[in-house]
Amino acid sequence: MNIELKLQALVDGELDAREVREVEALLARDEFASLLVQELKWTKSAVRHSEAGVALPETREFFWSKVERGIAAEARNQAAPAASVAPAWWTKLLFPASGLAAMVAVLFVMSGPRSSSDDALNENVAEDINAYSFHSEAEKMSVVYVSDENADFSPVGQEVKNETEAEK
Amino acid sequence: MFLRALLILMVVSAWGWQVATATAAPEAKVQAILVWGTDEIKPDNKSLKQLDGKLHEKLAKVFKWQHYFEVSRKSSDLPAGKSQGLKLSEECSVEIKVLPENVAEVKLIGKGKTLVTRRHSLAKAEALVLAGDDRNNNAWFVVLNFN
Amino acid sequence: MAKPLDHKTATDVELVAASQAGDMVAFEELVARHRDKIYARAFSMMRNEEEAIDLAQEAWVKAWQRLKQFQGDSSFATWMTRIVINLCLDQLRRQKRTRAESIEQLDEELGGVERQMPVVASNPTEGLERAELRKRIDKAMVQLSYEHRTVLILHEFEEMEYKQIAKVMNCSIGTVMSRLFYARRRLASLLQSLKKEQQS
Repeated sequence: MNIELKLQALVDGELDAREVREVEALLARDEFASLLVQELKWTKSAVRHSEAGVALPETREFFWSKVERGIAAEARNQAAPAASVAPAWWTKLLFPASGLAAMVAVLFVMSGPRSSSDDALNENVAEDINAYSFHSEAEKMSVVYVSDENADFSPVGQEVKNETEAEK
Repeated sequence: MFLRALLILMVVSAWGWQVATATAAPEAKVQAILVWGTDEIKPDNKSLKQLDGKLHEKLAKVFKWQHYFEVSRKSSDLPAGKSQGLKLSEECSVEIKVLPENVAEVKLIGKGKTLVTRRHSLAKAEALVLAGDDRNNNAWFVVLNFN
Repeated sequence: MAKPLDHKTATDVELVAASQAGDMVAFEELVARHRDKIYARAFSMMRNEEEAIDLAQEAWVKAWQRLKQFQGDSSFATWMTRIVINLCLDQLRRQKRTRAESIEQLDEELGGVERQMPVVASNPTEGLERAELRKRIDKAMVQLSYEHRTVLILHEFEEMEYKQIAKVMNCSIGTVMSRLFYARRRLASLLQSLKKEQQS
């Protein structure tokens, strides 16, 4: 181990007693080494107490709906191989786009207690769309959110955005 | 002869019932609002207005964007069993049909294609929000309120 | 009869036990309590909001799947943080592969340049208020490579020892030490520059 890394290990408390004595002896006679140790200590201390306190920029309900959807999707993925071994004959009579049918099942996610009247609710999305739904009891709203990284569908007219960009 | 008369009576009754229900008072009313959510400052566009306080507050409690602007708003009666289309922008419209058991079937149509079909219970006074990603980390919302 | 769990006031240990028994509401409460910390760790490593949100979400899904493996040897928050760190490292490695770089190449390119840097003789963060200090550290951290930033995060934020970091990052202790040394020296230099900028 080179001497700089030994100095750092001293700062981090990673040296055994014998090595500590050796490095301290060096520090007593080498000014550069002492300055370097000082700098390492400052940096260590500054970083240790300075983690940026960023908060998740999504509401509790919105974030949880995504987690819940992920859990449901994983559970289905694990169950899928067993089911696919011997598909029931009647499944062939179901919606021909089985991917869409599966998506319908995947995408209907509820976040929170639902009343029996909600059983009537369901949704269906186009095959190339990735959407998920959740329910906010507090704000009394059901949401279907279309996740679209490329934002191919943009119902708000371009002129609205152009105005914004011009303003910028 | 009697059977024939009974059959005619049944057909006429069924037709009469259909006509009666088709022309019955609206089952529900809907108000659809197209909203744009953004973190940008208010665009200088006269067709956009700040979303009303209550709805703004509701959306802001659920979604992350700071500003919500109303792009368009449409209202309509919803006669039972009949599909009603509401055009909210050049590329976006919704089709709503009230089904039996107090359920509305809502279709979100973008660029002429049905993107999402959702059945929504009208039993509770809850809004249905169809939303999605827009370019530049913005978002769009179609807020549907029924009564 | 067992008393029903009050999720809002329950301890993490109680919520974990309930979640292990399949109580999703208990798990949702755990997510709500720790989601900011998990996201913050992902953000520190990825420096990208969307990626950090996705990875934080993935971490919670993984946590639910592996919940039965959690024995309580560490706190739930620590266990969760390890999950998100591993996911971030996997993601960063994937990104690195696509950029066709290698850690070894990077280290060689640097070729011990950290030893040539002049020692910063006065504390570049002295007298700074906490918020300003955080801002500057954050600004400086962005300029480090992911390997150097990660080793700093694991050592200073997670307070891991060299050998733990080596295990997590799948490298030797020597590599951890040299990366940490470089990261600190570079950071000191960046903080010094920021201080000078502020003074001028």
